[in-house]
Amino acid sequence: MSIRPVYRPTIVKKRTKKFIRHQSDRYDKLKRNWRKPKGIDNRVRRRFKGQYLMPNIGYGSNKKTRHMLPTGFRKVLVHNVKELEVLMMQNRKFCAEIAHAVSSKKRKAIVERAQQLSIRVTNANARLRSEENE
Amino acid sequence: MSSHLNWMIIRNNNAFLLKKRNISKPFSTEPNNLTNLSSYRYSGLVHRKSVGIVDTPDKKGFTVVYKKAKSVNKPAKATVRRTMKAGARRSLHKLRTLLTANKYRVDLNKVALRRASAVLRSQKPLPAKKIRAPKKAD
Amino acid sequence: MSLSSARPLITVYSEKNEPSGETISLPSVFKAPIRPDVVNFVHQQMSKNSRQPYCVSKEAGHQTSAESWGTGRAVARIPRVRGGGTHRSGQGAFGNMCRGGRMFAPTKPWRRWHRRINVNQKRYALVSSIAASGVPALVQSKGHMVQEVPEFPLVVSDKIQEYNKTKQAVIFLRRIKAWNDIQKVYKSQRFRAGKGKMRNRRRIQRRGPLIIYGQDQGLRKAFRNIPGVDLMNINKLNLLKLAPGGHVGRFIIWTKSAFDQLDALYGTWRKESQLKDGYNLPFPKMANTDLARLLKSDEIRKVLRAPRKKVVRSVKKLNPLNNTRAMLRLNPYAAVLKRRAILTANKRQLARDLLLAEKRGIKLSPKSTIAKTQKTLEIRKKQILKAKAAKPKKPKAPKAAKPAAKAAAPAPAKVAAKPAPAKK
Repeated sequence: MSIRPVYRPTIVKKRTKKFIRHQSDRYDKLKRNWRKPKGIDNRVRRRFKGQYLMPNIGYGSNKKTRHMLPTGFRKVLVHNVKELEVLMMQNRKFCAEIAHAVSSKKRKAIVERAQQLSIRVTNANARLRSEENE
Repeated sequence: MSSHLNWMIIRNNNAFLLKKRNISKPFSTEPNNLTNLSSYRYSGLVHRKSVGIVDTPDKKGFTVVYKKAKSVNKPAKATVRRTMKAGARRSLHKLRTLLTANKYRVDLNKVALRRASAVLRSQKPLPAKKIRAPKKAD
Repeated sequence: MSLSSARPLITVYSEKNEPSGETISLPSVFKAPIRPDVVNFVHQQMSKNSRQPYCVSKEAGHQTSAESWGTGRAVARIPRVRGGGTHRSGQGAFGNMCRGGRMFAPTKPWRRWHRRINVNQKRYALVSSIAASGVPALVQSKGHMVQEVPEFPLVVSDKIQEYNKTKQAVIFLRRIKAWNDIQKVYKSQRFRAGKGKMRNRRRIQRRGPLIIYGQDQGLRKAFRNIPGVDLMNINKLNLLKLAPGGHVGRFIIWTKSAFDQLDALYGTWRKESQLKDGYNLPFPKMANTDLARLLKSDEIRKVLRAPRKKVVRSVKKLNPLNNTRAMLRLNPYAAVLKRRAILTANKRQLARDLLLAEKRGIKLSPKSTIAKTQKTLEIRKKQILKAKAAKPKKPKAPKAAKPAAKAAAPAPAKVAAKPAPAKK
């Protein structure tokens, strides 16, 4: 059985859609990434009806569920076994995520140690397939 | 030097502080820190008395590391290591009596037991992996 | 910390890590207040004093005769290079936004490169960092590997000052268990991350122990090739080495002659410094920094108010017109009223139903609900009468026991009424 978190509230996201940049639909040169409009006449800035919504602090998540994964854990980036050991006593609050630059050989060691310490690893299955196929 | 003053000096800057993204309370990697959290209570450095629990080198049981309160200024003499290998039930009991009998950091009692049992649990052999039947090659 | 605390004896260790038998009472500097803020500030200011001035050329970006075209040409009013016949003519110049223009706010050699620091502040910082170096917790927190070092502060005999071979020095460091720290230095040797590599700061490593000596009789040459080791004469203490990075707690190895001088250098609180004019150690702001003990002390306990352990919960006000219980608490007779209202309503309904049936000329079948209720009501009435008749009348029998039958209807109301005034 996988490790379950101590505390798993229902996570409420006040908004799940991204905020997109004004006029990013009209021009390719404008990326969708949010930029606050600054123009003096800008209708998005002036919050006209039917315009894009602007992000503000009211959309923030509950402090108790902020950065929480749907599993109820918060993730901690782990580069090696030593950093994993730190999570030993926090294994029901935090889960590990192995950093992307870690090789499959070292990944194996981390995943194995995590299993011993019953620490959940979000990407335990990464880089496994090529190994098995050999 | 009181532990409180030590903590105020160390608190924001030390070699063992481990901050991670999106985590409110930083971790700490120092020895003798039972929870690996950076906090006054669990700090393994600032107190006259502190407890640490680590694997034995052969991974059969755990070693309790604690400091002698008297020899604060003599690090070589201060640390005491006691290895407990007599099975989970007995060694956990031994650990509890060690901590509570002479009131050596009673506040760390629960955490120490938790860590010790976590160490013991990690030494158990892993349950056999379920192996999916390999797909037949076409 | 506090002035009154006893000054313990410090053992002098021989070069072979054995107590040599000599002891020195701990110099007062080690009891001085540790002020990380002062150390940090002084360190920051001091580190600025080894800077070399630099700047861009004064002429850079201004070696054209550019002039703005003014308005009316539908181009920006930035100065433009004069003339024709080359690509350069008509291009913008001077501005920081222009290609070939000068930088914004060109750096000048007359920047304030160096800082003057108050002497007393400098001494405070030195004293603080020396005091911190005597606390194992602080030294460890800086990452020095000192778990097996025999004592803090670590004082060794003057023999090591006569060393002139690195081999001797290495053996000494191994014996005194400082080699772990050197090992850590070796492990940490790496290339710097970032642009510093191309700016002559290519390799980095961490700091090892600092050796403070009284007299150099070859020891500098013996130790200088060991990575991480710094050497310092007791008369030329340097904060940049005592508290690298502005953080206190460097691992220091003192030779005996250096350690002996500390009291003369900084004085004890009772006696002024002999080597610095009119200097004495700073006084700590708090005599006792043990917070737990302070909070437990009688003096503080006495003036504190007792903890408020009682939990006060707010009471919710209920509307008696909606909430029956709240109504009953206010008016116990409401129960009777309510009950009676229901009963009369039922009775009236029945009567109306019967009347309606009669008017319409419908004969009620005995199975219909109206007939049934009529029947049960009659039965009940009979039963009540029967019970009344059966009970022997005992007027004014014992006072305590009231006749139950008589009190059948009003009794519950009375019972409810009694506790109510008591509550008020």
